[in-house]
Parts: sequence; structure tokens; C-alpha cells
Amino acid sequence: MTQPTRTWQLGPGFFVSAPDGTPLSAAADVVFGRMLAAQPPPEGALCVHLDARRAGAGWQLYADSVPIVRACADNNLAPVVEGTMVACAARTRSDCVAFHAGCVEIAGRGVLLLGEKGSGKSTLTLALALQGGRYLGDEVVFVRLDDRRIEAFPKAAALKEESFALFGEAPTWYSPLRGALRYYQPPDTAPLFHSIPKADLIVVPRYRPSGELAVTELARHETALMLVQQCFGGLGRNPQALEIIAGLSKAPAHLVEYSAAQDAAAAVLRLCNEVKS
Amino acid sequence: MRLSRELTHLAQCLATVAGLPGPGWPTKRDIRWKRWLQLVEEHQLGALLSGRWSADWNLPPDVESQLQERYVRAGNAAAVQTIEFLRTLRALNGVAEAVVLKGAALVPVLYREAAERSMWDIDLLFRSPEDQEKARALLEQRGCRARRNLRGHHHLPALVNPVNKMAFELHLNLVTPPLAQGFMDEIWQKRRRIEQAPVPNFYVLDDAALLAHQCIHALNDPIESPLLRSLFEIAWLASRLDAAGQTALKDLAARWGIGTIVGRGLWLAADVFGSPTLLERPPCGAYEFWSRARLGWCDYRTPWQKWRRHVAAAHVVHMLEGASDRNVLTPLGIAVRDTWNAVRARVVQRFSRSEAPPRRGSMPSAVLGDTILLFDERSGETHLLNRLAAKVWQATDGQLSADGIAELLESEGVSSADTRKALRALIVKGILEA
Repeated sequence: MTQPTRTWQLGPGFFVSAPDGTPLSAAADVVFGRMLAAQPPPEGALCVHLDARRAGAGWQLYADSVPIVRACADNNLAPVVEGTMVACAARTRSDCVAFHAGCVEIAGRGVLLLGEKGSGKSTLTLALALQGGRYLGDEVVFVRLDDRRIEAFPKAAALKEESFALFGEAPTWYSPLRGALRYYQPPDTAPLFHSIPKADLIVVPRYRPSGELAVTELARHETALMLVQQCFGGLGRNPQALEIIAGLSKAPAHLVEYSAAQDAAAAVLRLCNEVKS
Repeated sequence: MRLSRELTHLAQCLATVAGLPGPGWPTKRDIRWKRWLQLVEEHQLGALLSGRWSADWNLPPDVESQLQERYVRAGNAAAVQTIEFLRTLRALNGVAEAVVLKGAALVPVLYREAAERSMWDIDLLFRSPEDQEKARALLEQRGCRARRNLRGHHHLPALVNPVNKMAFELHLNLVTPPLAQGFMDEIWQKRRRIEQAPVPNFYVLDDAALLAHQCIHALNDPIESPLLRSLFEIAWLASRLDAAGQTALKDLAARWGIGTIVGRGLWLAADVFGSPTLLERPPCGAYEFWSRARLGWCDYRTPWQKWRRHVAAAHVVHMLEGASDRNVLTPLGIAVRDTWNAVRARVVQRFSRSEAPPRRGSMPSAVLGDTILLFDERSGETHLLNRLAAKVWQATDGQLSADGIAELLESEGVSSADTRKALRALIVKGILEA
């Protein structure tokens, strides 16, 4: 008897499946739960079948029966599935430019959050999503080449240990690169392929353990350079990325240095209102 | 072979992975870990070492965590690479028969998983030019584009998928100048299928031919092939070759006159890792000298610098060996031209006021108010031009001379001295042609 599978859609023609009712499918659900495929993959779509087999204390991850990479422990499985499949999702799309960014929609306004690893981007994205914003993603944001709209990639937000206290209990996972991790899916999450016309505000968060909240306006070229740095695969992947960056950098942009996520979220909401007025 | 203590330590780590004797641990334990990591990067060994880490290696915790980072990144990339590779093989099934070469062939043979061995370039060997053309048509139909033109080479120009950056090299032979057709026919007939593969057409060379090709490839590819990893793979393959495989390798070498080129790889690998030599030691030449030096090259400031160093050395070695198809004066000509360009960029420009410096091609740009963002497709660098540099860059249309540009910008309140300074800076950065 064939084992039932569970399928997630990670792109227009890109699906991932895994045996249902296994630790692997549970881990994939933690990350991509809102991207569960409603329909079976259509003919001609790229569908990758994942599997995980015990390897010592961890798991060996397979894609289409080929061993790919190992999760060092049970609690490393979700970060491994997240890393490999986000990389695939970003590299299978030729119709858009991918940015390493978070995105929320607040009262019809698009807010793009750009930042280095550890800048508190995911924390602030989630805080905004829980204060009335609609969550579009915290890791990858796609900007379509044809209509320049920003498209959601609504995988769960991955938060590091410093932010655990802010968002309540959730299972703790572990990544060798990022340390302890928890995944949170905001209740108001946009569906896959939901898009907004543009970024009305760009926020560059910078978490610091102490100190007052500081909001500094960024010049257009500073925003553009930040976008270049956060462009998946660099500008070489698609020369049109430069045009997209030039377009995005027209939005008002602010560096938000914060130690308390709630204060930073309140400041971003204020900035958002100013943009509106 | 005398190796630096960093190389010795690295080689010994690798030897333990494959169960080879290796050079032994360095007697002096004061390893320069920064250099050790540079060597790991240069020879693309980070993911393998992280995956096979052993406490005996005595790595400092920060080095271990850097290796782990490479492993995680390699794992993410491996998923993309494997999916694209399998998708291509599936598409080729029934269209053109191919044998998978190099990294993609070595993953199921030697490695535990794809993350341990990156494979951005997929090399496929075809039996006939017709099959090669069919494969090219199929890849082009899927959006792959040729990287650069190669004349008289044993494979077509690499076809690159612009979205995921995977490159496909479609071979008719293993090397330039080509090996005898009889040899190619023989290794084609002895190809074997990877049984556990999810596609029916995943063929690789048999063990003896795989090792022979690895030896040929390791020493012939001056840049893209990380030499220490290639020698390690030779050593690993050689140590696994059973008696029948050893006989087959000796037979191939003797009958097709590839004993020297294969022997070189085997002996160099044996010198580092203590692996079986299998063939007689070939006479030592410029190749061996160059290869030993190459093992330690790792501290480049730019990929361009790396490319030039390797290519220049390879060229000289090929000439000394009498195997170069280029004119003896070519490297000399390149050196003279480079020196002249450097002098023009840095010195002559100061005195020459009548030249019209043109913008370089292949540099997409975006105007951001007063500033300009430029992307250099050749180097992969992004430049942000400030207000003055942006004005100068916009004025350089290849028609106006330096004097003309200075005059034009003087009317906008920019001093002639500032314009010339900006011109020089743009030339030095390679944004304008000298």
C-alpha cells in the first residue's frame, strides 16, 4: 500500500511532498503549514519528494531518494527543511527578484523590513503582524518582474532565543547557525501569491540589547545599497534586479534601532501613519 | 612532498575521512587557522570536513563553527543542485544518452550525501555530436544560455541556467587535445548505471575510467578544479579500486598512451595522501612543480587575481611541456599589455588631456537622485557613484575628452581638478576604460 503524502506549494510551479504522519511532515508543517497545497500538483509542475531516515541521533534528508544533508538531531529537522526548501523556492523562480526581507501589510500599506542576520528583522515583523498587520513573510519576499508587485512567501517566522519571551510558548528547535529557534505563524497571514502593489515604507531594524529607541531617516542610496546586499543570488542573477531596487528605494526608509520590540513596532506604526497622511 | 603545516593538517584530516595513511599530523602544532580556513575555502572542503568532523582533528571551536556554517550553506545549495540535476537527467531520458562526469558522478560513488560535494557545474559526456546537439537544444529551450565561446574545446561552452546558476558542460571527449576515439568508445561501453538513482539514465564511467578521468581533469583544469580536493578524490578512488579495476586501469593506460597524464595525478595524490600509485612513476616535469606550488595558493584578494595567477602559471607550464597550442609570445604579450594598461590608467591619464575615456560596457545602472548605482557584470561588484562621480560618469560618452568633460562640468560649478580626480578614480576602479 502506498503511504499517503502531504504536499506543500512553495512557488507557482514548485511543490514539495513528504510521507504524511512522520516527523518530517510535522517539521515541514511547522515551517510551511500555511502553504499546504489545496490541490495536487498539476501536470508538468516540479514536485520534489522529501524523505528523512534515521542517521545516528539525527536524520538524513533525501530529495527524490538522493541523500542531501543531515539534521544533527531531532530538533534540527525543521531548520534543515526550512533552509533547503527556501533556497529551492528562491532559485526556482525566474519571474521575480527575491529579497531576504520581512513584509507586513498595515492598513493597506506595504512595509518591507530589511536587515542583516541577527538584526531583529523577524522579531519586528512578527510584532507588527501581531499588532494589526497582515503577515506576508519574514525571510523571503518576491518582487515580480512584470508588474513589480510584492508577493507573499508566508512561511512561519523563525525567531531566535532573545525573542522567545515576547511571543509565548512554542516548541523549540535548534540550528547550528542560528542557535535555538521557535516558529510562529501569525493568525492573519496572507495566502501564498497574495501581492501588494509596492513598499510604502522600508524599515531597517537594528536590535541592540540596551539603549533608547532611535529612528533615523535613510537616504535613497543607503536604502538601495541595503537592497543590493539583501538581494538573493546578487545582482548577477538578473540585471533587472537593479531596476527593481531603484524602484523600491523610492519609498521612505528608516533605520530603527531598538531594544524593545513593542516600542519599535509602535514607532513603525507611527511612520506608517505619516506615510499615509 | 614538503607541505606547509596547515596543508599537512588539512590533508591528514581528509586522509582520516577516506581511511588513507595521509602525511601524518604536523609535528609543530601551531597551526595558523586563518590560513587553514583559506585553504579549506580554496579547495572547497568545508562541508565535507564539517560532515565528517572528528575530535582527533583538534580544531578550535570557532573553526568548527565556521565549518558548520559551510555545511549548512552547502546543504541548502545541494538541494537546489540535486533537484536541477535530476530534472535535467529526466528531461534527457529518451532524447540523448549521456554519461555523468566529475562531481555529479562522484557524489553517489564516494560521498555520503550531496552536501559534502558541491556541483554547480554538471558535466555530461555524449557519444555523438547529434546527441550533444539534442541536449544543447533541450537546455536552451529551458532557458540555459552559453557562458562564453570556446573554440576547438572538448566540450561546448557551459550552458548556464540564469535562475539557479547551474552550468552544464556537454562533452564529446574528456580532454583537449582529444583522446583517441577508440578509448572513448571503450569507456562508453563499460559505463555503469547508478542503481539507487531515481532516474533510469544516471550512468557514470566504470571505476577504472572514473579514476583515469579524475587524474586527467585534476591537472588540466587550472582554476575551477580545487587541486587538493581533486587529489584527495584521486587518492580515495585509487584506494577503493579492486584488483580487476587496477588491471583495467593499467590496461587502459598502456593501450591508449595515457600512462603519463594518469600517473602524474596518481603519484601526486600518493605523495600527499599515501594512496596506491598503481602505475609507474612518470618523469618529473614542470607539471609536478606547478601542481605542488598550486596546492598552497589560497590568499587572493579578488577572483580576477586568482584567475590570472593560475592561468599565467598554467600557460607557462603548458609551454615548457610543449603542450601549448598558443604562440610562445602570448604570455609575454599579455604581460606587456597589462603593464601598459596599468601605466595608462594611473600615470598617462594625468598628462593626456585629449583622450575621450569611454564607459565600459556590460554595466547596468540605476539613477538614484544625485547618485548612480552601477553593477559590474564582469567582476560582480556594485559601485555607488557619489554626486561628482555620477556627473563625470554621465558626461563620459566616449566622445568628450577629459578636457571637454572638465569644461562641461566647470559650467556646473565643479572644479577641473575635482573632475580629473574623479576621472582617474573611475578609471582605476575599472568603471571607465583607460
